[in-house]
Amino acid sequence: MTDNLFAGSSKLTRFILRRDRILIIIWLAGIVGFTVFCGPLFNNLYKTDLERLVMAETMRNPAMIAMVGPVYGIDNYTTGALFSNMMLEFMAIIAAVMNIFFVTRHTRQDEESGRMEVIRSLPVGRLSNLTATMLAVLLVNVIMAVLTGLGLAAFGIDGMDFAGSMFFGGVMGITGLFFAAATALFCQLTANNRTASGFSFIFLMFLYLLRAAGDLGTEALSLLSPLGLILRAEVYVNNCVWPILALLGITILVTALALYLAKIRDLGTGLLPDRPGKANAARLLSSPLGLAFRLLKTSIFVWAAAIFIFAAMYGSIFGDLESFISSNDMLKAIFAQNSEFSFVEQFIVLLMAIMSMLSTIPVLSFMQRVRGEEKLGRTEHLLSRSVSRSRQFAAYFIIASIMGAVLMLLTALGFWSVGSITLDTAPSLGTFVEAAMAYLPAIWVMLGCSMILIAYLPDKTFISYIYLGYSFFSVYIGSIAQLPEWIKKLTPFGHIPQIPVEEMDVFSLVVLIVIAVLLFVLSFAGYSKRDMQM
Amino acid sequence: MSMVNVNNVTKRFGKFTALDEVNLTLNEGEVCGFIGPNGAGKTTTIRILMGILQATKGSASIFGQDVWKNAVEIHKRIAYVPGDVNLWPNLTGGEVIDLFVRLRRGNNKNRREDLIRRFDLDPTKKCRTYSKGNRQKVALVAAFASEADLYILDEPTSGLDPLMESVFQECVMDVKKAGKSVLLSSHILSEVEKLCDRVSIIRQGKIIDSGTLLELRHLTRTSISVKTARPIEGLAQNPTVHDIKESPSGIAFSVDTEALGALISHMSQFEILSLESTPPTLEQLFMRHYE
Repeated sequence: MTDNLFAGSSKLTRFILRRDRILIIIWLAGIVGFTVFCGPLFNNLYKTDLERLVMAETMRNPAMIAMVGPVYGIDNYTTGALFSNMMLEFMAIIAAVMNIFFVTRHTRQDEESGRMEVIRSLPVGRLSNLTATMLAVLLVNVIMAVLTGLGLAAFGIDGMDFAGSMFFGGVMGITGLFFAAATALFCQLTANNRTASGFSFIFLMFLYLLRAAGDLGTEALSLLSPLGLILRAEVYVNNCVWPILALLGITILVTALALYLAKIRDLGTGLLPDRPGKANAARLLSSPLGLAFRLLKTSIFVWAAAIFIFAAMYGSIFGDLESFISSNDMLKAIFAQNSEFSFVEQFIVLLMAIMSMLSTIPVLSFMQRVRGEEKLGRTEHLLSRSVSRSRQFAAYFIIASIMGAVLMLLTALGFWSVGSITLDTAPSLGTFVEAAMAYLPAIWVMLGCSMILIAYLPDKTFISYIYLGYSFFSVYIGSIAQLPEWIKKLTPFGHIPQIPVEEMDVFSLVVLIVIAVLLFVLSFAGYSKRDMQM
Repeated sequence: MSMVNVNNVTKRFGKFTALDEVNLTLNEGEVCGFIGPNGAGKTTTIRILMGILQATKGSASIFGQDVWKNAVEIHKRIAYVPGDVNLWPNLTGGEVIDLFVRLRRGNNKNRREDLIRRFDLDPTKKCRTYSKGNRQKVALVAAFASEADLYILDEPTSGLDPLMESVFQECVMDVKKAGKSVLLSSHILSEVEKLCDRVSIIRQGKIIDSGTLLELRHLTRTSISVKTARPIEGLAQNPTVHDIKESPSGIAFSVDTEALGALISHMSQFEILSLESTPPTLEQLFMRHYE
């Protein structure tokens, strides 16, 4: 009986690995390559004990703790300690994202498209596909962990020993596996792919916020969040094994629960009930724009709420930042060089850049929905009625471009509303709005790039995410580790005036807007001329 | 007046030639069957007509207007059902029908309700839960609920049950009676036989035959089963006679339709006791091209 449930799992595992071999290689090369590349980079940037000690002090401020977690090994702050402090949380999150994509792709997405039915008609068990997906994911994460560990250890950097490096890889792997299991669970609950991956990403964000809240206050909250738990492994400092084992245990339990739920539900259904819908369409649903809004409605509200909460969370620590800085002589000395501006103001600059790039994710994904619709053959329904290609393209363009502005406005509001409560002398709302809106041209250039891809290289739209990833690391790493200026200048985000620390630079913004408009016009022309491709 | 005019259209996808100099015409008030096996190029031709793909060479027009340049203008007078109906999983069937009808303008509420009833569709269900047949019904209701001069239907009944298929045939008859034109792509030949005035057969991207059913039949063989008092002489030597089969109840064979008259007068010399003649079905017509 149990044999029947799992029949054919190993064949399916091989099939999944075969199907995704290119994708897996790209993901692994990207994640492992980036992590390993950063090892020697950090070693070169912070050569002396003193430099690292200064960094340690910076990392101990509440904003950084909220962002990447607590500082370990302050007494002997080696390159390894600094590296894991700055990198581990983010790399674990990226591993989580990869696993969420991978699992939804092979479970709910296959089920929704009807491919699963074909598989299930073969002599394979009811749980075989989920089992095979989990086995494939296990393999991918183990490879990622081992390669990362070996790669980091290979440089023989002082403070980055073999054991610590393996721990670093191991933490990334186990985090990835945990989110794979959690996603598998969500896939059993909801009846469609979009909701399942939506739940998974909200869950990821929630755990990150829980960890941030815990690290700033009640540590118990951090331990509840796997993203906080893993940091307690104190990689390169104490290399504690219990958090990894604990998370492994949780992962096994979650996987078992997902398998159990998969066993008791019917193919193509979710455990959460489907409500009957309306027999007639609302007034809104009478144009391509109305349809696009209807399709994206949930995502729009979820992203708006998430961005506002994020901004408010950062706003809540502005007050702590100020007192932290004034109680620390060393940091005070560093920031005294730029005494014209408060520490908070200098920090807003970095936070604003991060929030703007975070806000670009929905902008790009909303725009790329137009391509998704095309691939699924749904655009055909509209174009065969009296809808032109430009009208269809414009529907998503309008929503995506406005979304960028709305999210930046919410960021400014989030920073200001909570920040002004915690700060004695907070910058005005106008300053926040100005700082946030300065990023809008950069977001639009990113949007323009994504639209050009949709119009001219419809099978390569993922490149826009790679570019966004590059932007994130060049600006984020660039601002904490003095990278050459040109690395930053390759992304539109590197050309934005850093208000309030810098003056408003109208010229740069106008140039970016002109570039964006040019990209928009070209992409409209291209989309109107090309074949629809399934 | 010709409603649809496809003139030497070639379509290439990279090196692959999907359509090779295709010609097709559809006159006003006509129902034209477009038949061919899977992958022959039916859907590609229709997608070019709908302005979804651009022809590599040649020209195509509907209502005398270019299908690529004036797509939006043309579509105001067209109702279309794609071959593969993929809908938005979180919208209900009713919502999708309303959206489709509104995008063409000209809303007819009574006809919508009437069609939903005739096709036995539950419009409150989410599209995710619909079977292939039900998704096709959504597209068919949206198509027939809108005022159009031309209906382009790409294998519209491939997922329908026989009951719904006959409802579909009624709908086509209705629009035909109203003087509208229909282009019906299908590989269900009995359906084409029942509905269509003219037929075009496509194979490997080329139109290999087209004309009225009568014309096409002329080029093929009629099945004869005959019993005579005396054995028929010279049958085996006759070059227009094929597949002779003898049985106790008589003799059966097929004959080139154009030679039918001459053969019957030849056979009458041998005292015909019974004679049965069956015109070729579209099926035989079709198969003949693929042998």
